[in-house]
Amino acid sequence: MIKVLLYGEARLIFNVKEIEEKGSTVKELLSNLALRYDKKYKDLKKFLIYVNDVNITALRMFRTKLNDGDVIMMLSPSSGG
Amino acid sequence: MATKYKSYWGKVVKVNLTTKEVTDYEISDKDRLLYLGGKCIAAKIIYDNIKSKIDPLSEENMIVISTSPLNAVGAPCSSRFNTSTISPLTGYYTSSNCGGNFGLSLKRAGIDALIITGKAKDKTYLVITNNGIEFKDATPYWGMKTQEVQEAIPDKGAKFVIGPAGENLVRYACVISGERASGRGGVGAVFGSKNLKGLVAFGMKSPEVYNPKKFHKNNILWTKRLRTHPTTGKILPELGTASLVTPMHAKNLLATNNYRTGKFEHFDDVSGETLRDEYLVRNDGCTTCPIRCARVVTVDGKSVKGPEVETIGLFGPNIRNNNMQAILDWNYYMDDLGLDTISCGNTISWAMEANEKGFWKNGLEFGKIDNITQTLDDIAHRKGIGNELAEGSKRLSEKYGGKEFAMNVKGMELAAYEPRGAVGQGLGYAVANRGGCHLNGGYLVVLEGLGLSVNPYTPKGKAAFCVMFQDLMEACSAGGNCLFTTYAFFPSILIAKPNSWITRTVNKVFTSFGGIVTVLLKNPRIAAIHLPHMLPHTKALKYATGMYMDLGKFLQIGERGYNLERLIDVNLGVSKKDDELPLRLTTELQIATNKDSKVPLDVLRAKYYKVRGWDENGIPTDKLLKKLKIEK
Repeated sequence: MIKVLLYGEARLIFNVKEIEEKGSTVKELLSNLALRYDKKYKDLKKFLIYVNDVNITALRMFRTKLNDGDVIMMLSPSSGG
Repeated sequence: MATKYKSYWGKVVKVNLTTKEVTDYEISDKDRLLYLGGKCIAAKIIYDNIKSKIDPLSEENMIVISTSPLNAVGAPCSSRFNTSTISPLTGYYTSSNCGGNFGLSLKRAGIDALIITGKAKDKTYLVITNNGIEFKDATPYWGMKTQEVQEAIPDKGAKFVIGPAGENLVRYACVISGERASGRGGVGAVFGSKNLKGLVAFGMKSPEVYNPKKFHKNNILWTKRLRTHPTTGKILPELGTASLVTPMHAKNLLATNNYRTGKFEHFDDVSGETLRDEYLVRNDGCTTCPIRCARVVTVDGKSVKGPEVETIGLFGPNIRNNNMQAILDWNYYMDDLGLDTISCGNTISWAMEANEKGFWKNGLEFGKIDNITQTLDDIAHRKGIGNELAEGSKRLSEKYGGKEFAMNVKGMELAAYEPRGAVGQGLGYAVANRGGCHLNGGYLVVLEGLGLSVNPYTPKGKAAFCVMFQDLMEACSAGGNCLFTTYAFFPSILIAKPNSWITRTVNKVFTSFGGIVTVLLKNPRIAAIHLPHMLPHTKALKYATGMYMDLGKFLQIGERGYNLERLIDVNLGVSKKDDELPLRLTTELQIATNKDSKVPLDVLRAKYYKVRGWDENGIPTDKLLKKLKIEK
């Protein structure tokens, strides 16, 4: 299982801090989340996504492979201060 | 005094507290055109009057409280005013921006700027109305905290007051208007040194604008833009500036354990999300603000202003505290005492490390929070170790050792952004005119992870963008706007879709545009355009004042103001030797496996001086001053 930690807008959408979900890639994980929580996949794609502390833009984006025990962070796309 | 430009009164008043004289001070229309208002016009006044080193807490120092053309005329996010002086913390120029109502009321009282000189014989406060300025006895109010005194002073109007910290000359004392602070640089101590408890302003007038119809139309567009931009329309109202805690942790930018790392394992306990879900009463905003980023929280059963991200960072991760309610309590208490939360938190974290390493045994420890409230009280009243902490981290580290981890520049303590995770931000801290300020330094962290995700470790292009952002924010502030209005400078699509190919491409190539930005900065006539969706400020200023204004002119006002501030500092002794970071940030890797995770300051600073048109020692050249029409 993959641990998904939710922040910002993602926490509002799912209304929880943390979810456990299956998925062999980021894309599959987001699809599973969309299906399970009745969300649109394209809405979940907009979040900043970190796999084990590394932004997926520095990995293989949505094709990034996931393994059991990986930790995903989903952050709001913007922040300000 | 009169002015041909609209949205000014053409009235600057000088008050001599020693003699109780009130006189008009001449500002020409040429200066209005060159410096606009706010911090830039204040820099002009201080530059003309203070030419060499002074004791900031002596009678020789002056305070300039300046409004701007967009104040009190109905533009969005335009209640900001500046308090400028020579800082007792740094010995150099400081200008502190505040969103309280005092600036609006000062302008409505018919005054563009107020200059305060001398020293009152007795404890004094001033009442400013359309009928003039009255000197009143502040003896009954001396010793009161900032909220108490604002309620106790019977005069009608917006208040701007100091608390015990300012009275006791704490070098980072602030001045409070409502619940908003002129926080940085110790302006409160300068008030205290002049026996000045505060100011009250009341007025009912607003100046005319040049083209009301077009001005109003531009304001509607501007407000709409702010309400629909993902940062100002969504995340800031939703989570406030505390929204940054989580991404700062994710991107190694969250100063932790006195800037030893950029991550805090308990960050979510003090995040914007936790603040919203467990502590928020409602959000709030300055007058005229459609963003409403302020947090209202509960302290001792009262609804009060909550902390900004800098306070959360410095009283949370940086002292290894994950108790959010404690941060809310301390934040309110510091405002009430009249302490700058950034310098205060940073000085305490230095003291904790100094204690840990045996430089100075003081009882303060990382993660131990039961003695913090008492320490804050002791600082404001200069009791026990508080008397020493009131001097700030620079003076303490000179006395006890530990300069390499005293996180200040020019004596002003850094904000909560750990610059080894964003080296352009590190450059900004180093060269900022008022010292280690995240905003005066250009706030490049917004490019390097907290907006866009440009490579945070490369020095490439950073100097040019640092200059541009400094100038942009300087001009924005001179106009009277909140700096958050500049977020709209970033197209929504880049902010809202960080994983799109467009955003990723922009992030990759962004630093390559440093050369183009440099050309633009050196030739502002190229930018004789308006960008109404990205930067509505230029049209607003044009329609409000009747001045010719475009993007190039706007940026050049910022450039002129920034250079004039530098010249004030140069007159007071600033040079390259002062544009330095604490050694921890330039010599120690933040992440052992990342050889780029330290600030390459020598490279960045040399390039910055070149883009600025300063010589190798960081002094603006005569050629530059001539171009900017600054008389030496």
